Amino acid sequence: MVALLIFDLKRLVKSKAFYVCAVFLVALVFFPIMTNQGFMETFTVKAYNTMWQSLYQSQDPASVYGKPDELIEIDEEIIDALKALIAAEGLHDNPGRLEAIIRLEKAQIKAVEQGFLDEWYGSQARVAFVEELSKRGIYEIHEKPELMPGSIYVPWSLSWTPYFLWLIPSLFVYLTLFMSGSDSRSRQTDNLLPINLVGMLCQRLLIGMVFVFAMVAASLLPAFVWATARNGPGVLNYPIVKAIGEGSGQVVGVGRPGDEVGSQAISGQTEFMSAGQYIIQFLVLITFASLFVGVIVMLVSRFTDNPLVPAGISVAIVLIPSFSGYSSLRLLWLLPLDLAPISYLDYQNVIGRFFIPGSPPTAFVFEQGLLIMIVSALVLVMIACIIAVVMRRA
Amino acid sequence: MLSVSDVSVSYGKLKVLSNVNLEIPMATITGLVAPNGYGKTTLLRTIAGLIPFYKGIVTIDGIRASQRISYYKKLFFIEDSSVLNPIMSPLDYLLLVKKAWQSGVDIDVVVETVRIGGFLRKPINKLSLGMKQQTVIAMCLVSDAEYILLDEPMNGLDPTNTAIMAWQLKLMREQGKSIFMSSHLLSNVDEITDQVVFLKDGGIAKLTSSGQGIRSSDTYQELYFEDEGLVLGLDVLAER
Repeated sequence: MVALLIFDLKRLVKSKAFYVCAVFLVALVFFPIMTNQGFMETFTVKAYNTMWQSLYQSQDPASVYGKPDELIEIDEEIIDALKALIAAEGLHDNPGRLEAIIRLEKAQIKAVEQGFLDEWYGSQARVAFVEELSKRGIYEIHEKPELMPGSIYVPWSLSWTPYFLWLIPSLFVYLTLFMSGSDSRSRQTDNLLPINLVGMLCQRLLIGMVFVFAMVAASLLPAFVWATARNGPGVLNYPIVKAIGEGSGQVVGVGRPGDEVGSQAISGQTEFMSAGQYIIQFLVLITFASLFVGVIVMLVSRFTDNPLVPAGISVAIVLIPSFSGYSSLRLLWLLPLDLAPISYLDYQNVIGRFFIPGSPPTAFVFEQGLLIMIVSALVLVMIACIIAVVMRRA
Repeated sequence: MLSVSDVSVSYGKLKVLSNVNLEIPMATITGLVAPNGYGKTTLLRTIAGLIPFYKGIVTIDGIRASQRISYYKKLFFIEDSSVLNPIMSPLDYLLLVKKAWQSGVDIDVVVETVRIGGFLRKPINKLSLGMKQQTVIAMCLVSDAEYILLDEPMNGLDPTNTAIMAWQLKLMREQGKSIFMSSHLLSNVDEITDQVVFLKDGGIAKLTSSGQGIRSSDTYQELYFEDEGLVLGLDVLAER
């Protein structure tokens, strides 16, 4: 087994595809950083509304009357904040913009707390607020990532990136499949080695995992180095927010106790973990995912010599659960959320710095994912047909 | 001894091998001759355990392929040099084989014997066909396996490399190895083999030994050239 492992590692290192893939991933992650467009944080209008609705539902309608002076006062606060927001518009790294947002949200919270919810909903300030956001097409609040030392940023917020969210797992699976010697030609040579089958299975899984690890490292390292070079290394135990408030949505991000995230202060309700814990969790997730994919590939490739079949099936298995985020995985495998296989593929949650109370980020890309899945299936069928026709003619 | 007993192989409805019985003794070279599509490669693949469903029994010194490690330690088979990964070097393969077969053979000695030192570290895709075939032979030697299966090892080789290959096969026989090789080069088959197996209609049509003084080309014509005009034409060509 060790002999084959060493051989396969050499094969991996000597393979041009390995480096092409690594460069591709680096470019994918690094290009938006260089163009300074990719950094996004966090607080979408959708999330904002979700939060607002949840607050609304918690209110007793009977208490939402009276106190007009206070309402006017709050309304003024909101309008002031809105003016500040508009003044800061267009400057993504303008600290005043974020400050204005926070002021605005604080004012809204105050309105709710004091029982002015209905008034606020119909108020001039809110209407103006929503109109302003719509007019400017603002759906995200941007903040300079350099403010966070040593943090890792993955620019998935660009409009085209959801497509890559589906492409990269496919790439991992395809390349792992071909490079771990599961294709029929290489398999013939490997199968004749006097090595027991369990050992060979373990070796192939291991080499697949090495590949996935290497690719993930390749994709993250430049961003990490870049952020570290600009802002210093940070500290290893820099706290990472695992969940905010009552955990209405899957949240992973960077912050300290007492920091404010949107309208919510990170409080005692918030779960934290250290960067070390986060890295361990990340490795565990990748290990599970690699094992899972490897087993699928191995099992399927036992029944067919056509490498397209295990590739197609494994990609489908990887992608389908990702469409609906973590929930389906939890139902299917009854595993703790953090240990669910494939969940590492949800880069937005695991690597990105997202604070999105209310809904998992995968919800944003479900439709695109479904569409890509259908198109991918059609393409796979077409490729399989073409190969079959060519082989028959040959 | 490598023993094939009542082996039958079918691909769907097509029966390729039917009740094949064969024994390959130690320290011999056995040739396997038949036209294309008569089941030569299928027989070699069946012995190597690459055909999952077949009838009959194949054993090496009484060991069946289900006893995987023991069986494959005694056997070495690479269908052809094209299965070698093009980005790897001969040295990578020799190291793999030495470790996998837990062989005590010195790689340096084999490299010198087979004369592959000049391209030992070059990627396979930079090697000529002859060099690749030499690499396969070197792998056979390094494995120190007792039984070696070769599928048309001299195909595509020029006369020099064919002679080198023939010498290397004889060398392996002298070392006590048994070689079972398919080939279309009948003069080479006569030169180096101890016995020749002719396949026809899924079974063994004839088994000749070198002591009988029968030319393989004659047996080949007798078995496979059903068109007498073709035989005559070939004879005329041969005379010219």
